[in-house]
Amino acid sequence: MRVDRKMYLWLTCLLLVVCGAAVETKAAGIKERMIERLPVIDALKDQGLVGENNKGYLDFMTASRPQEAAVLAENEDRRQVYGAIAKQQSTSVELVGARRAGQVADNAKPGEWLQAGDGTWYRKR
Amino acid sequence: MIVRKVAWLVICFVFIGLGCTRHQIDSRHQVEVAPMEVKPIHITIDINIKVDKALDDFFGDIDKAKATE
Repeated sequence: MRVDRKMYLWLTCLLLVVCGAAVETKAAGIKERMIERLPVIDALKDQGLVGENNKGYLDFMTASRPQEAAVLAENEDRRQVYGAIAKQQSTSVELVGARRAGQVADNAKPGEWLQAGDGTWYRKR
Repeated sequence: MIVRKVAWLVICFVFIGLGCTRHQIDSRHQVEVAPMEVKPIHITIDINIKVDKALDDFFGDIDKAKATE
């Protein structure tokens, strides 16, 4: 009986370590993709083609949607990150996104499109 | 004279009697107060700080990479 309990304990610990490693790998993968995508996203922002909305996601500012796949992928990765943080902090995805939108607005370069809290779009000065 | 004395005695007894009676005034004062909504401000601030820190922990490297471009 004692041997069984020890084995059960070791297996549980091993499972926890494996799960933790899997979550960490997933997060690292998202971060790497975001860093890789950064030049494309920044170029779109510099050209005024995309802006940062007040929910923490990218929005197209024109009818044409260049590099749409990259923008959609970026938004999806952000959604996953916000979801993970929301779960960790026992809060809503919307709140996390809104807080990130505030950070992005603070760090934005002059000329980038941003969305205010009331929904209006403006270019950062 | 006797009548006066008796009259004074009667008056005194009347006042003494009144003093011995129990006087109770029931008064109620009700103050209408509009219901106050007490918002948990400290909880909101704590959550925002924790969320901001979690966002910094994740996006810190990405924001630095963007700043150095």
